Amino acid sequence: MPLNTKKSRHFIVIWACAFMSLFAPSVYASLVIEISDGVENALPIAVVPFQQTGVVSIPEDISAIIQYNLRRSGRFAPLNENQLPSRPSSLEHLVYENWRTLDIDHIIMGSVTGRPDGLFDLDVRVIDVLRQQQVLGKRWRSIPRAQLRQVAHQMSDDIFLELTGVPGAFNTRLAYVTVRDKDNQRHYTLEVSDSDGHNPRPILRSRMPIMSPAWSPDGSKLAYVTFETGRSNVVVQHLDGSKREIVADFSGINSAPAWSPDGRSLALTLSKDGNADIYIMNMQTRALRKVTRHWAIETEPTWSPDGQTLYYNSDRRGQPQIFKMDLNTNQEDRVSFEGRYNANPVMSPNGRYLAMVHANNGFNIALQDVYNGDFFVLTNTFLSESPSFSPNSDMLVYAMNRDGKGQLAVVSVRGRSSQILRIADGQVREPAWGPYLTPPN
Amino acid sequence: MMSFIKRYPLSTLSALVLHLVLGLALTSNWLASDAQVFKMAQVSDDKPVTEPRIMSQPMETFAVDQQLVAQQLQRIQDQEQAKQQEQARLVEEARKTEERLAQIRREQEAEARRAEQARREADIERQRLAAERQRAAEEQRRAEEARKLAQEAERRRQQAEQQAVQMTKEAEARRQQAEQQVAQIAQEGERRRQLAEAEAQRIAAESDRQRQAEEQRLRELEALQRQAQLQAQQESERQKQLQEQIRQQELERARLEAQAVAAQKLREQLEAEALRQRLADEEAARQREISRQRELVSLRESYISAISAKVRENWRTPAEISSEAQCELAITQEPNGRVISVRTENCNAQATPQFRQAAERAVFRASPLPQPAVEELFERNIRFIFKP
Repeated sequence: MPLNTKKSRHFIVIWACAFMSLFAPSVYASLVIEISDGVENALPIAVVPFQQTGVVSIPEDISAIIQYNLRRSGRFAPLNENQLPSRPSSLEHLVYENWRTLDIDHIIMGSVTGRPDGLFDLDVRVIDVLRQQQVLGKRWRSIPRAQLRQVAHQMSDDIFLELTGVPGAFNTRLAYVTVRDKDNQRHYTLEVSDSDGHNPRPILRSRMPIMSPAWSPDGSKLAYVTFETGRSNVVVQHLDGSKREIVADFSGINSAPAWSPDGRSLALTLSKDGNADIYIMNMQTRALRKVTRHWAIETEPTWSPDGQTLYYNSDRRGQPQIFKMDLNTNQEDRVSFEGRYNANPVMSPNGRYLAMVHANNGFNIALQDVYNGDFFVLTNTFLSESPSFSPNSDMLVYAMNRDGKGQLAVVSVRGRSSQILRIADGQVREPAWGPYLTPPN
Repeated sequence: MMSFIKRYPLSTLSALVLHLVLGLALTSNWLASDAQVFKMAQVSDDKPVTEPRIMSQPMETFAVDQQLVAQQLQRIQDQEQAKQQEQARLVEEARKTEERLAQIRREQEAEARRAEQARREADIERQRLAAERQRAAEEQRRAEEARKLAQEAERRRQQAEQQAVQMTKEAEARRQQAEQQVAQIAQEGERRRQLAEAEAQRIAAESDRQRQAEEQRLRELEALQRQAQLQAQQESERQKQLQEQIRQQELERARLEAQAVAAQKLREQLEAEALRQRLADEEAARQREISRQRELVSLRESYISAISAKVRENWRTPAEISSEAQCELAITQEPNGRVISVRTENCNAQATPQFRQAAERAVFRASPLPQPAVEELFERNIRFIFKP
């Protein structure tokens, strides 16, 4: 797809900037996470500060990261450090009764060793206080300093999987768009951070809006909508900085990209034929398949996990409602029936929940259980939009508006917890929760 | 006061007397009523204690009666037989009397025949005497002829006369004798006849008497028969009565029997009751045992369910657990309820490792486990199905 030179140059600058930012993570201002709601059924757990050995000081507080992750999940209520009765470093030093009286079920402990070569060795273990057993023990060897946080997230995932049976989604990333007003100018930045908001890296800066980031299933690419050409187009950008290309620059609307589960196709909304309809683009051949053929607006497609069905939003009934199409039979069916307005459907990775923006005294995120048709409104924040599931389908990030300021919120699909992700100097919008960085075993 | 008495001595006296009388009346009344109450109380104390009747005697009485009835019947039958024999004897006697009457009649006839014979004999004598008289006349004529013929003849005649006179005299004597004899014979015959008649009369009278006697006897017999009949009637009456009596007795017996049966039944009932009571007692004991067992079982159940409940109370997990997940928990505990160990066994497909571990943790968290209501119910090894 040909780009004009000026825009191309501009584009490259942004892209280069973004690319560079990947290698300078600590420079960038972090998302601040507030765990806003108290969690009722969270289980007490003790994360003992990791024993630090070796010659090099440890740059990251691994146990703090783990503790924070567990707290964020809404399922655990880690003891504060000052509440710990002791800081055992090994099983031999563990006096179970002391922990039992604190109503602690599990103790997480471990060690970090800074090696002379600048790499780190880590180990973690999970002790079942009541059964007086170690239920998890794992080691990481030769970890570079830059990956310590990631190891901490991996540990969190392992612990989470061990204790809940569900893979954790800590070692994942978020993509989102920040909006900052600087010098009377609005600056849009597409950023990628760790799931805990740390380690943010700009992917794209623009003074034009950036919308609808979508992770490729392998986590290597982001598709998003920019207005850098003056009208909307869909761009696919490789996160390793190797490639960036506009894949849809048709006349009219080019929006709402959604990767198929196998990553070979991109569903998107185009109005090149005069009316917004859903198309599927083969990413190898760039061939388009027009999916919906209706005079009404069809947009915001999302794939079922098996890639056989597309869910999308259509206003053919006068108000937006969710429809689905069987891609083998082209059979269309209405899916949402609750209320007058249901838009922006997102299918959970496990195929169970369809999240949507539901208008009901404002806009909230609602979940429809695909298995049994249950419908429940998940949020009570203001102007909620752009829901996106964590890869373990356990949590959901969405954009909302608080005090006139765009922020992100994370909720458990069971409504157990919520947390706010915000930046100090601007607004955060258009979240997209990325896939597992290391696929769960 | 004294002045009042002095002023109205009569009134005071009469008032005193009246009070005394009233007082006496009240006192006696109270005593009487008290005595009454006491007596009544005594009467009510004297109430006889009802004792259960012994029911074997009526049965014995009945047995004796039967014998008696048989005896009586036998006696009646014997009497009947004797009466019949008597009747037969009377009939025989009557027959014999008749025979005798016939004999007497025959004898009378023979007597009459004999009198006839005598009469005929007397007639023959008279004819013989007439023939003699003819012959005597012939002789006279011959004598005359002889007197005529012979003066000699006169002598002869005289002789003959003399003879003849003599002879006449003799004949006369003879005749007279014969007449006398005839008269005698007639007399005799008459006498005989009279005698026979008397005899016949006597016989007739006798027979009459006999007949009368017979009749009398017959009447008596009849009377006897009637009596016998009456007796028989009476007998039958009596028999009837007896029958009635028997029937009554039978009824009585039946009643008694019924009573006895009832009593037997009652006894049986009582026995059954007693047996039932005994059985009931045993049953009750058994039931008590069973209910104790059951109670123990239910106590055990409630013990187990108390444990299960406490485990469930202590159930918590961060994991998502299927509501269908279940395992058997095999718990080993100390007598004070402290959990020594716990294992999950026979888990179903929904029971994830997280569920199993959480269940085991719940058991440990529930330690010490609730104590049983009864110490004997304590089980060191407890096993139950756990479902959150």
